[in-house]
Amino acid sequence: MISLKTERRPDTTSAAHEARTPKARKQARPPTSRVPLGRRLRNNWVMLALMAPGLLFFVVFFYVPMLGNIVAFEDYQPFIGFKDSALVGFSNFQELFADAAFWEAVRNTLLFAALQLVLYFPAPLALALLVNSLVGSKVRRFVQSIVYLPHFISWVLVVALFQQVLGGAGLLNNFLRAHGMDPLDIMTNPHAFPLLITAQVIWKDIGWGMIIYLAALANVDQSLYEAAAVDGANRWRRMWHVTLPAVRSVTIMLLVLRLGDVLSVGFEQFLLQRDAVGPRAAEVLDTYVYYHGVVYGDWSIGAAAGLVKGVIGALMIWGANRLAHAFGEQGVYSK
Amino acid sequence: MSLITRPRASLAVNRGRRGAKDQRPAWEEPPSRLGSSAKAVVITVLVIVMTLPFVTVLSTSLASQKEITAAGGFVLFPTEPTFQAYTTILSGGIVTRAVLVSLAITVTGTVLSLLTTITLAYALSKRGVPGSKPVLLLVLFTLLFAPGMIPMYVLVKELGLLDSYWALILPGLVNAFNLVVMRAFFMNIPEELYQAARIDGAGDWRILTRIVMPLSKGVIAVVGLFYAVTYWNAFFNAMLYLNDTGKWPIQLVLRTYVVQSKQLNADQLGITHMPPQQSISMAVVMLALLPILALYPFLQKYFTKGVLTGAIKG
Amino acid sequence: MPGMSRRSFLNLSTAVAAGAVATPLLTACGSAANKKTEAASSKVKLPTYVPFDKVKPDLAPNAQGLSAGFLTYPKTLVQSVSKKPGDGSKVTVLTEMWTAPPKPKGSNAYWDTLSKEMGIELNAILGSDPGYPDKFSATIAANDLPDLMWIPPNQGIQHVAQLLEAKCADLTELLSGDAVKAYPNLANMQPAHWKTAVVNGKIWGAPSPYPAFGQVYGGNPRIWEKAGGLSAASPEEFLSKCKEVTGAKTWALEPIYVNAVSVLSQCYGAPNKWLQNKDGSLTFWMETDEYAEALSFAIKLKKAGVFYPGDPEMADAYIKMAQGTIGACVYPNPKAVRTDTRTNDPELAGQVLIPFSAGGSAPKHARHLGTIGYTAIKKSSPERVKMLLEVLNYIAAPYGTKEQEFLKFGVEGEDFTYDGNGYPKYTKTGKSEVEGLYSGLSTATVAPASLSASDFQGSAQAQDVRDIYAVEQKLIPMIALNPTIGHYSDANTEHYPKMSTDANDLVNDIVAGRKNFSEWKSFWSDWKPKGLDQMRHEYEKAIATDA
Repeated sequence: MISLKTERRPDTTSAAHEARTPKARKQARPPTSRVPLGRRLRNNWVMLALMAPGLLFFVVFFYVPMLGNIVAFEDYQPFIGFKDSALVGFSNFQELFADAAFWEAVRNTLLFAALQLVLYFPAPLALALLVNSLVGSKVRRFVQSIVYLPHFISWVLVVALFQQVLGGAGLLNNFLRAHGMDPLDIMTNPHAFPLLITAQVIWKDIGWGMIIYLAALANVDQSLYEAAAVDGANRWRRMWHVTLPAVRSVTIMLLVLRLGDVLSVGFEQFLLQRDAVGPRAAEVLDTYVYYHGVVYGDWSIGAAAGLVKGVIGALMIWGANRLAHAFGEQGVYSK
Repeated sequence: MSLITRPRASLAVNRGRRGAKDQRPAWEEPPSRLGSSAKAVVITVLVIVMTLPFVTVLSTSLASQKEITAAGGFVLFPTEPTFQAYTTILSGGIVTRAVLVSLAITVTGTVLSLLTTITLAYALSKRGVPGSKPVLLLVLFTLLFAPGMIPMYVLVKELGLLDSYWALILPGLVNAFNLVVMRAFFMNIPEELYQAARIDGAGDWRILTRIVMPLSKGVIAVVGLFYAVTYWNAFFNAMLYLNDTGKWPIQLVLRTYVVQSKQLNADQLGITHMPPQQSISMAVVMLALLPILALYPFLQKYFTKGVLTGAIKG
Repeated sequence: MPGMSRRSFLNLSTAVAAGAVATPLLTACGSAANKKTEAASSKVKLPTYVPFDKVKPDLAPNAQGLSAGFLTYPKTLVQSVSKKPGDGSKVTVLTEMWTAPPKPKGSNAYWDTLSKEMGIELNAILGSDPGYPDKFSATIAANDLPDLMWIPPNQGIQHVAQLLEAKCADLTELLSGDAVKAYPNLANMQPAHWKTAVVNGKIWGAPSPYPAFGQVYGGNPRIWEKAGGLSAASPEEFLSKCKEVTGAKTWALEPIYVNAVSVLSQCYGAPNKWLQNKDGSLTFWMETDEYAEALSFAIKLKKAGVFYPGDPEMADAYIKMAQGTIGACVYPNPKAVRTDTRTNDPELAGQVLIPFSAGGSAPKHARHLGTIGYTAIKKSSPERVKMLLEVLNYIAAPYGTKEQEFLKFGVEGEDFTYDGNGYPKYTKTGKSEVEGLYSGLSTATVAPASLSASDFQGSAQAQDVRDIYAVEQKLIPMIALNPTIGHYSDANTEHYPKMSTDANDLVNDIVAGRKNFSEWKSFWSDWKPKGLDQMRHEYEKAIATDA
């Protein structure tokens, strides 16, 4: 129920009409720089009015309380308050960088992130393509409405269910024992842990992640397939030339956003399985922050680690976005 | 590739085609036997792997304590199904009210979130709007950092929203991720459509309501689903901002049925409450899931292929 | 909520596990910040213990913590509070409930009756688990103080001393020594309970008692039968019994290694958190040889394959024990063993392992802190503070009183009826109006724990009371106290949570075989300069000053 992390991951879609590169679009638009600002404001008053409520939201409910993050530069004590806690400059950051456990958490986080990127990230797209290729719409609808369900299972239950099947006394190992074979240590093996974690993520979120791609695929002009078929393109070529281009910009945007979020690989999942494999294998940045910020009561270190995460995320987004532009994609924001 | 019929007409075209969807179109070659059987195997395995846990959860929610104990936690086939767990939960003092609260929050919140997200995304998707670039950066920034809990609480209190339902909606009104996605989609709407509309004398507002929104039903459905699910599942803000239990949403109420401290370590002095009955925990999972199960089929049609077919004459 | 809490992992994490991963602040006091203002706890005269004697239990309690036992429900209830405690004003209490929420005030008839009976307009802010510490911190930080606030010792609420001094009423004068006799139900609390409500040498609230006994192994007798029951005279015998009951689909022990070592260390005679040596110096329990011996014994058990091959976080270990897959689990106290097995299987009478003798020292039983915190009162006029103490006195009414029955079960005929054995049972109305509210109020404060037949399911209730009482009698002579309770150390507040987490992680890694036993000793020599010695010296000083 508290999978905040995963709820956000696959939140996207795009119509992705292909064959219109950003360049083409750029040329189609009138140049704006020559028009004086006053006139631009007047010309765009509707747009500015539409922008206002959303902008107001971000200012009030994000930027105002964000000021509280000053605690990263303080020796913050909740009952003294933000204003009166002593300012300590960057010493919280120095302390953070001097902690070997912090770097271990970073290393684990990057390992899990890389695995998720390689194994999990493409999975929803692959599933969407598979589901989309099903001919019978009843089957398609049935499959669609099954595979997204695990997203709504809490991590506690996911771990319990995995235990039920793969645990030391689970179905698999009881079967092996009954047939005179050695049981396999899957759930408490630190070496298998990265794969286990990724498998759990795939199981839980492949179907939920798929929805976005389905929405993108829904906008593919079906007559393009017909035209391609008439031109002699076979199944695979049609997928390559019609289907994939339709989801390309969505995929790239999701990828850029995922890279920005590279230091978040989940939280509850790791906290729950920490004792099973030990902190050396299961400590990630978010659990590190949890222990320091909440369990050890060191709010300032927690906030500092949060800021470090954000800065690295910003660099990743910036880099990935530039890369996307280099390939002629729009990424998440334009130059 | 080029001009456009009016979107309304295009959707009509699509509706006309729906009947034929179940069949393979004439131009498509018959699937290879190997390909289709591989597909069938993959799909079947997937469906089983994804369904079995739910069957287990459902079955366990219907099983008696005796059976659960005998099975060691999870029951696959309850021999004497009982709705005991459900009646225990549903006869709780404030469950009915909490369901209504959650429905109202979810509906109101989703509508407001969609409106704000769509308008902001639209304004940010058009070039030449003064200030749109810095605003976009401001939005992206919120993806990377977060305000703390205590400043949020103080803010909500200062705005006079404590113990108000608005405290469950306003702090999460726009999700930057959803916004970026929505904007990307809008940017992919062909420029020709805007030009054609402008030649017809349509202003920005009219273009939004007559062109952009009708063409974006898919993304609106997806983002709407994400917002709805978030509102429906949210409990933390309610826990923090609502002192009056009579205003609690259902997820927060359901959580109280599964209060469960993990085994406390030796030096963690504490209150240890024995785990709740397994059947009740499982019934809670099922109850929390029901509205999602009910909502999805209605949205599904927007994720079905060919929604826009015919909108653009190729 | 989108956009906001998604990334605020502090929110997220506390939401997830605040209640679950508790921070062990032994005395619930202190702040690392304002060190100057917090002298070590100075001398305070604890309230006089005046046991409530108007109801005679069938099995007598004692001051060491032995529970009162009631084999039947008292036929005639007595009155413990003579006049209405309140003055008609509105009283807000912030506390936590452990059940589903009651019907809200306004649509809850019982709530109105309770307000009337207490002479106040009762307003309850009922937090739920997990999340209470967040709610508490936020409420305090926003200066939204309620009249009465429950302060748990172990949910990671930091800097409590500062909060108390700044915002709460010092109750020392009203409760210390014989003054407490003005509140007879509070005078029924024992010194051990009061100690946990003392910070900076002042009494800050009414304690919330919890059974005095600590962790024990509880077992499924059907499994241990073939090895002659869950008992042992030596580690060797325990190991061989564990091996004997472990079979193809049965394992002797649940796989929560930290708890296993903790309970076994009592057999080896390890102290309860701190050992006070003859010269007054202190030794931390995990530094002792006794603890290390228990750790190496646990490794032996692990190698013998008697631990269930599962997740150390497993939530369903108790069910698996009732099922017959796991032989024994660690329970928070002896009573919990029996209530739990009776819940999962009314026929099953869980057995308690009495610490056996291992090694040179005599076996011990580590007493629990004895409370789940205390309820403090917001600074206000002396009259109001006294009135609020009267309210707390009312809520602490003991078993067998009219007030207690009314608080717990409501009004006869409306909220409860007596069952065949004469025990009150909720009606549907009572369940939805009374249960949740009582859960919150009894968290704030409550009479010391007793064993009563109605606590147990199944048909052998009176026997269950006798059995658990007998277990408690056996544990009493072994009881070891934690000498630091009621004393204050800054270093403890600052370093203990991390030290304890790291130590538990290491125990876990060592037993699981991921790390070597040799790392144990060096871990503690590393921690000495990092905070352990500082804790030790501060406690030594505090104990010497207060004595």
